[in-house]
Amino acid sequence: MKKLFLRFGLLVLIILVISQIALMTMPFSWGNIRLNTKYETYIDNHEQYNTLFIGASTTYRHINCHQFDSLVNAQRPDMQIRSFNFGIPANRTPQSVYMLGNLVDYDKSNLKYVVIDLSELTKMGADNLHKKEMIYWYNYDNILGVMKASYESEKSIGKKFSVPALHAFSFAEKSFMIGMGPALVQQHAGMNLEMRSLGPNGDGFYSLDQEMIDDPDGDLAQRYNELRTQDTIDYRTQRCQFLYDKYNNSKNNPNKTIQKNLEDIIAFCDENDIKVVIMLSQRLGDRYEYLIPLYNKLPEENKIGFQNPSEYPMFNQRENLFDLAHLNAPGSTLFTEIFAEKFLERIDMQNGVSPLVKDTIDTDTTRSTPEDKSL
Amino acid sequence: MIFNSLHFLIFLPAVIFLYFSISYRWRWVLLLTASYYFYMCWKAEYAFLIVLSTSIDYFCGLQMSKHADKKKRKPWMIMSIVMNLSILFLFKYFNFFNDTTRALFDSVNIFYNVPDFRLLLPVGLSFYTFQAISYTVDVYNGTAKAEKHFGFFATFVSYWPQLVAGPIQRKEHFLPQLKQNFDFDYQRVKEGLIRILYGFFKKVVIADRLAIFVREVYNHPGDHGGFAIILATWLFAIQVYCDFSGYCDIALGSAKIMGHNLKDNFKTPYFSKSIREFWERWHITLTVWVRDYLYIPLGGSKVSFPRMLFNNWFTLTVMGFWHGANWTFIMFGFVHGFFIVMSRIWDRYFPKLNLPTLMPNAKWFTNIVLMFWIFNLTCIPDIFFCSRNIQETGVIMQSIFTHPDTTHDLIFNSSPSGATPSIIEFCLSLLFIAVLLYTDYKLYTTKDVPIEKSVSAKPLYRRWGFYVVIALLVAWFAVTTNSAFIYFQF
Repeated sequence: MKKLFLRFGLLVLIILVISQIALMTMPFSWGNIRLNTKYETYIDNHEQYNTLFIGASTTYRHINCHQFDSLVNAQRPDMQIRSFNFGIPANRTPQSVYMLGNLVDYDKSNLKYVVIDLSELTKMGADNLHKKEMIYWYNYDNILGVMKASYESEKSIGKKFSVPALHAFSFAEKSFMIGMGPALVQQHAGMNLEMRSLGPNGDGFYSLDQEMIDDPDGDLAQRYNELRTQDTIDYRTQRCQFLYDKYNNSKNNPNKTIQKNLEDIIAFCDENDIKVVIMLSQRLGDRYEYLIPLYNKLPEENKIGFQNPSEYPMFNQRENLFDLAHLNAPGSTLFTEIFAEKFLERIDMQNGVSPLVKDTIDTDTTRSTPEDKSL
Repeated sequence: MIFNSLHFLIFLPAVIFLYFSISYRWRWVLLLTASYYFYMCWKAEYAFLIVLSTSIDYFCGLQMSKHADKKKRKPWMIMSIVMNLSILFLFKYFNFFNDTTRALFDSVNIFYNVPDFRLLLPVGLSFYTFQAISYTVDVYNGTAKAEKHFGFFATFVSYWPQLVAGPIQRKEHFLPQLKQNFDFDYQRVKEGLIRILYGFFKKVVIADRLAIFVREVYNHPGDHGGFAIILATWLFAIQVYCDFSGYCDIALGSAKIMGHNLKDNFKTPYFSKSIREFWERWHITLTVWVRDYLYIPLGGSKVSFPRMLFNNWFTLTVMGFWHGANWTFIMFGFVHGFFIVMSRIWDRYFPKLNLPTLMPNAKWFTNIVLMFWIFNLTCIPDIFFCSRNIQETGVIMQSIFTHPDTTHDLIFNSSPSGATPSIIEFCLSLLFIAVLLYTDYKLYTTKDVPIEKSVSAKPLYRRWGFYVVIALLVAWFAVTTNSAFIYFQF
């Protein structure tokens, strides 16, 4: 029996080594076609970009790089902002850390500003197993942190063990490239690209309205029509407000591992002379319990928060929404405008300039921009 | 539990470890427990049916063994067969007959309102029922002795590797093996593992990948036409072969590890050069069962020529109906029966018009032509097999000639389960079919020596080359949707 185990072990080792070699031939972004398209585009033109937005669909669909660059450069020509949107649907904070690390590794010489969208941990269930989009970013550096964060984040005893176990299983799947052969072929055949996802300006921003126009047979039209009733929007806003009020206090402790992750990002960016801002977008309220305590622990100069519905009522108005979780094109224009203003304030704070004495960007006096209560 | 699941990958080593850890006298207890656990993972209540079937056959077998006179044994045999077939009829065929009767009555405006029997078809029912019937008939005929030990008999009926989809085993071949002491033998275990690995390759790499294109056509009848349907039918023929023979490989490999030698079901069937040879190489245990318990009792070939033709046709139609309670399966068997009848008539009346006779000096050429011809011939009944109902079969067959060709759409726009482009999956499918053809051809040329024996006889570097390549293909190119085996539904 010992002979069998030894030979079986040798076979497993050979498969592991070959799989690891195959993985080395792939870019870090291989598991997500939109990210891969963005990354390939970025490396072709990376000298041009000094600002990156990294996050989930709330980054991808809401921050219009072209508009952001114009707004900031009009106010601060010396910053010479040229931004690229690396937002991809369902991206999570540990993935953002992974992306940032790889982008900085590729070339950090031009990089001056990074914005990271704060989001929850991957919702890892059995139905997410075997999906390359879920597992491509696991590596020896982050897997233990992800498992630890899941353990801390889950409430029930069963899930405290089963969710980290699923992450570990997925990590093993990635290590042996289980079922990932077609993705390997796709990558090396140059077919792991979806140019449309770069958006009309080719900078990674793609509004949902635009995608619905480009792909009228996709499921976006259905989402658009089904979820935008006023009753649903009112319910969404009330729920979001309720959860915000409930969790926006000092009683809730953040997930220590993710908090450490975020602190490490700030320190890492400091070391590399990159200014980082962590943004919390308005959510449906799901996981506010987890996100708001994290956000509250971040240094003031490194964060921008849109989580409070009463502070940003315009993001709950029907005319600015595409569906319950995302803004439409006019909404994203408004969002980018407000975001650019807040971004400059945070950069000033990081530069030691008081935000109270600086000029503000205010191009549209009719919008209901709230006072920033943090100032 | 299905073989291509994480659950099975835990179950198999656990059972094997326990199997070799305990005394051989108690292994039947382990195997019986494991078998019922294996079955109950699907639907626990239906284990009752196996218990019922096992108890009836055990009891009838014992009663028959008390009488030397066949006449006195007969009632017990009839009782056992009736009980087994009643369970089979109730769960598998009742609704079909009920619906057909209702349709008939409706057509003559007579009110008929017997409600359908709304229960799930128990997995593997047809397989273990046939295995149980073969035991009873063998005991009745005196070709097998009745088993006195209920535990061994229950293990024989429910043995987990072949419980849900065969291969159907005969008592005299298999049950004595359950009583033997098999120690851990490196060579045998290694061969079992090779067989399992190759089975996984066929199932999760080839069959499940081909299913993408087959589903695209057969789940949307009327949307495709022209060569696309012919292509999808070719792919289905290979899919069903890889799916079922892959299952059998895993079953045989698992049994082999424990020392049990199960009858094989496939011998490179698509290398057959006649339709009769095809049935000697395809689903062998069912063909042999039907031959022994239906064809021969009907008179077999020792009757007049027309009667023999009828026996052939009838046997194959019944075999088609065995697959499922649907007109599509009846037609599947009917068409196969028709082909057998035609081949027998041709051989009898036109023996000089056979291709090898016409071209005796072009053996290679005639072999390839005949193999391709027989493959295509078997694809025709497969259109019935793969369709969901007889109306859809009609639409699909008609679409070959009337619908514009959609081959490009099929290759480029099918929907793989992952995000991989369809064309990549298609090219990979062709590549893996080539690997399968090469392997099957090698087996065919070595007179169907099992793959594990063939690989084990190779020098070290070729052996390890095989292990690494097949293991890599299974790991990297497995379709991870855990789709059930096609024959589980029967």
